[in-house]
Amino acid sequence: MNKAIATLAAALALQSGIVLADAYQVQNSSPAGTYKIDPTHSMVQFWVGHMGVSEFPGRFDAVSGSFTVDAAHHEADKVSVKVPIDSLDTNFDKRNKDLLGPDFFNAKQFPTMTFTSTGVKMKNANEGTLTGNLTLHGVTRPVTFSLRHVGAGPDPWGGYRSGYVAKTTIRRSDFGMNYMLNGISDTIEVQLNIEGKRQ
Amino acid sequence: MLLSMARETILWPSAAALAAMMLGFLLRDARFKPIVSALATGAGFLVGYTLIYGNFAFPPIEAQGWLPALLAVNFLVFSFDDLAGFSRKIRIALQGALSISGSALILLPLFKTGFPALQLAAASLLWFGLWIVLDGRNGPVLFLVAAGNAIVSATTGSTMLGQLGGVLAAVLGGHLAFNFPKSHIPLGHAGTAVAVTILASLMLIGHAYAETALIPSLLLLCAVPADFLGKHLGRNRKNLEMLICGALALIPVAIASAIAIRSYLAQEY
Repeated sequence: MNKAIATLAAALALQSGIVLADAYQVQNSSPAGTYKIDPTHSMVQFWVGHMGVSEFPGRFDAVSGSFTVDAAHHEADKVSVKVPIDSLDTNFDKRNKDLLGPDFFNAKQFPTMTFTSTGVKMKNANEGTLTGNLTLHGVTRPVTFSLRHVGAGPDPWGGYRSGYVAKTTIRRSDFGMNYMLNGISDTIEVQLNIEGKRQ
Repeated sequence: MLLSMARETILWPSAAALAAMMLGFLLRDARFKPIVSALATGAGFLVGYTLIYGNFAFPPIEAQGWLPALLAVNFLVFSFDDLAGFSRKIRIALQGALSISGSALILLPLFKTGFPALQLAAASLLWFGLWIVLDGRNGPVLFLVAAGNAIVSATTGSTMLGQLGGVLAAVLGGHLAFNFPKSHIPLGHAGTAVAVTILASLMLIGHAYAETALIPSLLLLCAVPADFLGKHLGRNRKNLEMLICGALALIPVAIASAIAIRSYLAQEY
């Protein structure tokens, strides 16, 4: 019995050693380069107030575009993102239809949302701000995101990747989406998670 | 929130229309009465439009943004008709031209991805047909079709378009109440132009951009010829004529509404 316990303890010790060796780690290599956004690891998420009682999430699943990072001169960094509006999903078909119709996003008239950067300011190696023009619902307005560089480094397939998280709050009425402002909040929190593959 | 929607859709628009109708009531010159009636319809709708949609950018950023401009043009052109009296040929030519241009403006965003020839032709034809049939025959039929369109739009297409449709129904309901016991609404050519422009535009926007269900909408259009049948069967007795018109129009409107509501309830929130 004691032998069995000792064997099990040894196996667990070995296993935990292996786990420690394989633990998830952020890669801290240089993010410099030009990247193509990987749509399968990128997403736009949003949270909107519902009837004053909750903050409901939604997302856009198809994100494409590119970004260029000059680690020494961030002012030269560029980001370009394109999102098809009909990639919206809020986990309920009827609501998706309502949101894609003329009441809100009006996807048939405005099939894409785009963001083009005009400036990047980093306050340290990983954090800063991203400013640019967001075109949504046929209206273009300047928007500033808080920006966090998550990591950069090689992938197992011989490529090189880098990723960012950008967050901001917009007012939908600024983009001409005025319907039902008493039931669905004007302010919308937006989060853009992007992962790019270096070209 | 429902109370607020009811105020935006029914209370304020019908109050604005009734206020304008009261002004018309004070006018002594009978020639201006149809114009005031048209003004009441347009003003009532614009009050609802402002409260519900509230976007007056010009040029508009969305198809529904063309509604105020379309209403203004149609009101001006056909007010002149009510005052001066166009010949039948000129009136029909203008109705045709404005049906085509209205359809084209509403479908304009689709032109970016190709020329929607079939949609444009069908929309223009239906808009024109609706106008020709309803011109000068404005009673319960127009009200019932507008109310049916509000239900079909709200339940199968877009809540906002349903609300805007409800505004038109509320304004026309206000006309019926104001003119009671007469069941004829004295809209004149200008008032018909305004009401038909709102109705046709909302139906077209619903189908082009909000995937409003087609079958219930076609059923609503089937109610429009009830005016012809009512006149034929009523044998010049006005009240009987309007009763028959209303009863005949109610059948397809009730079926269309039932189909739309049933489809909505199947996808309950």
